[in-house]
Amino acid sequence: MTHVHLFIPCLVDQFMPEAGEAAARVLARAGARVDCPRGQTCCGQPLYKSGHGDQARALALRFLHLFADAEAVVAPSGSCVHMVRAVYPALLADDPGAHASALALGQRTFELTEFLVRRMGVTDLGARFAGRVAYHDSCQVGRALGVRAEPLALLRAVDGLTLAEVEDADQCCGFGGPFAVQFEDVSAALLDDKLAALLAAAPTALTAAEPSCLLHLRGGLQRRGLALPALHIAQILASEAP
Amino acid sequence: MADARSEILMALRLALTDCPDPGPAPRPGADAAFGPADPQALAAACARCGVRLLPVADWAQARAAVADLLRELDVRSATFWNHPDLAPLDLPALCAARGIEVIPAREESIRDLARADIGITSALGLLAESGSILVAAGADTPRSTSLLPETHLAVVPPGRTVPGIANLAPLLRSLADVQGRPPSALHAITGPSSTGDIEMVVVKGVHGPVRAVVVAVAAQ
Amino acid sequence: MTGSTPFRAAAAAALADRRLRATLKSAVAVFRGNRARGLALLAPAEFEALRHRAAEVRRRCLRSLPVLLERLEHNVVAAGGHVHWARTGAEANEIVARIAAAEGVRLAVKGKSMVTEETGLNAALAARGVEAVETDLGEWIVQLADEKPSHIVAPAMHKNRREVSELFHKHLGEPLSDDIPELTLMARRALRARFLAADMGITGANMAVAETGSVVLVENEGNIRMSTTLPRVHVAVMSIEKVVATLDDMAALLAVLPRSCTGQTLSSYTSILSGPRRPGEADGARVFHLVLLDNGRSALVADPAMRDVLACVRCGACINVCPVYAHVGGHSYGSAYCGPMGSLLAPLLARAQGAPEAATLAELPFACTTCGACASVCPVRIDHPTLLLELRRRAANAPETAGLAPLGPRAAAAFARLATRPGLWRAAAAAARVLDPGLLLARRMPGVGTAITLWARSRRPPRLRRPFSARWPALRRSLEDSNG
Repeated sequence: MTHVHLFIPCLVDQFMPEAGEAAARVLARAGARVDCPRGQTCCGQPLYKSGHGDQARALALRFLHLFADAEAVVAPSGSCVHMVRAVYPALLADDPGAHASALALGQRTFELTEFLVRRMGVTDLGARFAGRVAYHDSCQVGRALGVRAEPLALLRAVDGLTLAEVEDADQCCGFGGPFAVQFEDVSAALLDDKLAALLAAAPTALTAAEPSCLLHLRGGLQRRGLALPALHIAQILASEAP
Repeated sequence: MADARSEILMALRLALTDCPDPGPAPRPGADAAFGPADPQALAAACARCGVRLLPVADWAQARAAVADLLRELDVRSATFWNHPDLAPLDLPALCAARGIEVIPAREESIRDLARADIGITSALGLLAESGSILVAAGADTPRSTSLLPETHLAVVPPGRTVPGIANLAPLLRSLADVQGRPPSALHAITGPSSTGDIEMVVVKGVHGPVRAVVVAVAAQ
Repeated sequence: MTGSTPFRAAAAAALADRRLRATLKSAVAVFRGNRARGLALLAPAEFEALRHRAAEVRRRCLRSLPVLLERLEHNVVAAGGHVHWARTGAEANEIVARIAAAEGVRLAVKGKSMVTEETGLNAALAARGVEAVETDLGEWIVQLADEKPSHIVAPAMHKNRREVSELFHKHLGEPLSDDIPELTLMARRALRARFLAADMGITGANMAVAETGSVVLVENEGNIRMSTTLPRVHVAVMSIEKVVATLDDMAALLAVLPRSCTGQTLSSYTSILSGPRRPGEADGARVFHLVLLDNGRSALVADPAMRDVLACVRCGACINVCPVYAHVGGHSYGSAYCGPMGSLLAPLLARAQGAPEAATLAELPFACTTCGACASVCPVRIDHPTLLLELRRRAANAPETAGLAPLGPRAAAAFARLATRPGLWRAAAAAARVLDPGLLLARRMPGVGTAITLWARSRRPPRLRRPFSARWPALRRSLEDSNG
C-alpha cells in the first residue's frame, strides 16, 4: 500500500483547511495510507520570495527532518512543492549532506494531482460534482512543475462536471506572494483580467490546484460581491453523490 | 592607467578563472551549402514571408516571366546587375524593347538607383526553410540594386537551393576569398521591407522594396 | 513598503492611462500570436532542439569571451575594419564622436540599437554638432516625441496612430491621417532623404562572429541596410558579450532569434557584414568601425550566479509574455531594458557601473509575480525567476536597498523563529483566530497591518479557520474506519 505523508502548507492549514481534508480523503480513496506529521508550519516560501531565503534555511532543515522517513510527500499546493523540490537544494547548496537530502526528498515530494495521476495511475476517483467548472492553470503548478494535463484529466473523469474552456488559462492571476501587496495596483489589474477571463467561461465554480491563487481569486470574487465558489481541486475530487 | 582593451580583457580573464575555456566550437549541423529541398516547403516559406515565387522550367521561360512582370508592374526604369548569371536573360534588350530606362549602378551615382522602379539581381541561393533570397556584395553585384528600387526581382539560376538556416555557415565558408574572408556583405532577404511599428499593423515597403519577386529556374 | 518609488509611480500612471493599457494589451497579444504561429510550423521537439543548441552556444561563447573578442578583433582588422574598446558608455560615445569628427560627419543615420540607447549616444553626438537621426520607424517616432523606447523590439508600441499622426503633422507638416500605410509612407519619404544625405551610419549588432570578423544585423524595415550601404562610414556599437565563435554558432542563434521575436523564420533582412566595401564595389561603407563596449559586462561575467543574464539575445519574447509588463509598459522600468530581461540587466549593469540609479533599479526584481512565463519562452533558456529571486536576496541584504524588500530583516527573522516553533506558531494562530478571525484588528498592526490593508483594496481578506492540524486526528480516525 502506498504510504503518503501529507504536507499541509500554512495557507491551507489556516485559511482553507477543507482543501487539506479533501486531499486526505482523495488520497485514501485512491488507495493510499495517509499520515500527516505533526509540527508542520511553513515551508519558507514567503521568506524566499521576499529576499530572505537565508532565513528560510532553518525551515528547510526542519522540513527535511519532519519528512525524513516519508516514502512520498504530497501537498495540495504546487508552489510549496516547487519550493521543496527546486529551491531547497539551492538554499542548502553549501551543506553537502543537507543538499543531498533535499535533492532526494524533492524527488519524493509531489503535488496532489501529479501524485494521483503519475504515481498512483488514477484518474477516475468516482467523484460526482454537478456544475460547469473553470480551471485556473496556476503558474506554480503548470509551468513550474509541468503539471498541466493531470488536473484536467482528473476533472474530466468527475461525474456531472463540465469543464469550461478558459481563455489564456495559464495567465498569472497576479498573486505572486509578497507581490500582491507590494505592487497592489498591478496585482489587482492582473486579477481583474484573470477574473474576467474565468467569468467569460460562464462557470458555476472555479478551481485550481494552488491555494494561494484560490485565496486571491476568492478574495477578488468576494470583494466584487460575486457568490461564485472558488474550490481547491481536491474538494471537487472528494465530492460524492448527494 | 591601462588602456581599455587590456583592462577589459584582463577583467574577463580574471572573471572566468572559475571555468576553463571550453576550447574550439563544435561544428554540428550542415557541412554543405547546397542541397535538395521540398519545392512545396519552399513555396510555403515564400508565401509566408511575402516573396512572390515564380518557378519556371528554363531560361526562355524565365525571360518571359521577367517580361511579363515588367509589363504587369508598368516598369519605366530599371537597374540590374551586370553579372554572368543574368546573361541568358539579355536584360538590356528586354528593357530596350519596352522602352525602359536603364539606370546603371555606378559608384558615383549609386543614389540614382532610388529612382528605379525595379532592381534585378540574381542570387547565390534560395533558402528553402525561410524563403530567403541570398545575395552577396561584390564588384558586379552592388547592394543597392536589391535595396533602393520599389521592386526587387531575383532571378535564381538552377541548383541554388540552400536547405536550411544551418547551411548558411558552409555557404559563407564556400564564398571566402583567397585570404579566407567572406564577402563584404551577405544578405538574406526574406520578403519585402516591412514594419509593424504603428499599432503592430504590418505595412510592406517601409525603407526598402515594397515587393520581392523570385523567378526560380528549375534544374534541367 | 508603502512609500512610492519611481517604478510604482510610473506603474500607477500607466495603469490609470486607459488608452495606453488598451494599446499595450493589443500589442502584446499580436506579439504572442505571431510567435505561436511561427513556432507552430515546427514540431515542438524540433524547436526544443534549436533552443537547446542556442542555449549551448551562448553559454559556451560567454566562457571563451576573451579569446573570442581577440579573434574577432583580428579578423575585423584583417577584413579592413577598425576595432575600438570602451570601458564605459561615455568612452564609447567619445569614440564615435571622434570618428565622426575625423570623417567630417554632420548627419548620421541610426539603426535601432539598445546599446546606444544605454550609452545615450544621440545626446553625446548632438553636443558635438552631429545630428543623429533614428531610422527604425518606431525609434524615430519616439525620437520625434522626445521620449524613450518602451519595448526593445517595438519602441513606439505605446503610441497609437493618432499620436503618430499628430507628431508627423507637427514635425513634417504632413496632413493628419489615421491610415497606417499612409503614415508609414510619410516616414519612408522623410527618412529616405536622410539616408541619401547621411555621412555616417550607426548600428548596433545582434552578434559578431569571431571566425570571420563579421557583424550580424537582423531587421525588417531595411533601415539598417540603408545605414550600412549608403553612408561613407559605418560604425557598429556592440556590447562585448555578443560575440560568437563560428558561423555555425551564428546560424544556431539565427534559427531561434526571429522565431522568438516576431515568429518569422528569418526577419526580412539578415545582413552579415565583414569589413568595409572591397575594391571595385560600388556601394557599402568605405570605412568600418566596430566599438566593443563593456559598461559593466565584465563585472557580470565575474558573477557566476548572474552570468547567465548575458546569454540574452534581445528577442523580447520574455517581455511579450510578462503579465506585469503588459500592464505597466516599458517606461515604468526606468531603463533602456524592460520586462523580465530588463529587471535583471538594468539593476545589474547599473550596479556594475556604479551608477547612482542602481539603488532605485534594485526594486525591479520585486516587481514580478514569479509566474515563469518568461523562462518558458526564452530561446536561450535563461531562468529569469530564479535569477530575479537571487537579486531580491541581494537587495534585501544590502543596507542601501533593504527597504525595497517587502519584509524587513527583523520581521523575516521573527517569522522564521515563529515558524521553527510549532507550539508557538499554533498558539499565535489560535489567538489571532479567536480575537480577530476576519483580520480586522490586524490592520492596525505595524507591518502586517499595511499588508492586509493593501490586500483588502481589491480582495476581501480570508478568514482564519479552525486549522487543519486540529481537524486531522478526527479525520484520520474516520479514514482508518472506512478503510477497515
